[in-house]
Amino acid sequence: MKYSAALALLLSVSTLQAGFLNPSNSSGEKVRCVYSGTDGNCVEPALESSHQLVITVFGQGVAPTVTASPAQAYALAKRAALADGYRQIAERIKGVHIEGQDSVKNMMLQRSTVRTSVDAMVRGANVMDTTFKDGLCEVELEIVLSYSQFSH
Amino acid sequence: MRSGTRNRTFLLTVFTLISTSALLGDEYLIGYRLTTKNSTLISDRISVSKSMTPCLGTKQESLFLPRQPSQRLQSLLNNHEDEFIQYATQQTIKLQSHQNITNHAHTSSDSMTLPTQCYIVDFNDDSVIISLLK
Repeated sequence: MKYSAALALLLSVSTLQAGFLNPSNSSGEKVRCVYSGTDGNCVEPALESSHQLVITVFGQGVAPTVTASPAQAYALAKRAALADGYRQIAERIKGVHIEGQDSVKNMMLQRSTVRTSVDAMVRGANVMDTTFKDGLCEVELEIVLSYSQFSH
Repeated sequence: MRSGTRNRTFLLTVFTLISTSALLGDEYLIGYRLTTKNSTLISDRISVSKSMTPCLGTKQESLFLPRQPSQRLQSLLNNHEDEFIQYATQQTIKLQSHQNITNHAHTSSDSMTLPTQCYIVDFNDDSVIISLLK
């Protein structure tokens, strides 16, 4: 009798731990993150074999101050925006190389330098939308990543 | 008799070569490089050169561009740079970016390069069809 009561208690506790006390597990598989934000929420979902990952960025470019016509300003700003968009895609997929240097003299900061660089090949990005307002061009770029592209 | 057969073979070879070249069009090597500084375009350039050796590969998706009579490919691509870049950037793009922040002063430079690749260009009287060979 004592043994059966102890066994029932053990089973009920393990059941509570597995299901009722942990609601995130009961709703299905947990979402894996590439990295988390400061508030602990998932910022970027991980690439799974079962579905594709769509990355959208907004590249920004400024028209030069001296242009022959508004059309030329638009065309030049769009190209700069395209390069910025590709940079953002490369940063998110491949990552950024960061190098920092601080110079301190007599316990005071003299010079602070941060250098970042990106070097990547990007294939298959598509321009989804382009807007041009007040000399600023914004290009929406989208790239679809699938597991098979990285599996071999 | 023998020389007649040889002549026929020779003519057939010449005809095949001519018809193949007419179907394939001319082979060109085309590359593109764009540089921006602080989000403003500094330079961009399309480089065009006729291929000196035959290119290998199969035709990919094509780009159709209108052409003025006897317009050269370099001038045509300069006139339709946006269309060509949009077509070509669907392929691989090499990107190099550098940013420097010193005592809150920020400078950036981006360089976008379309690697030089072989394209087949079919010239018509009022249009060209450009296809990447890959």
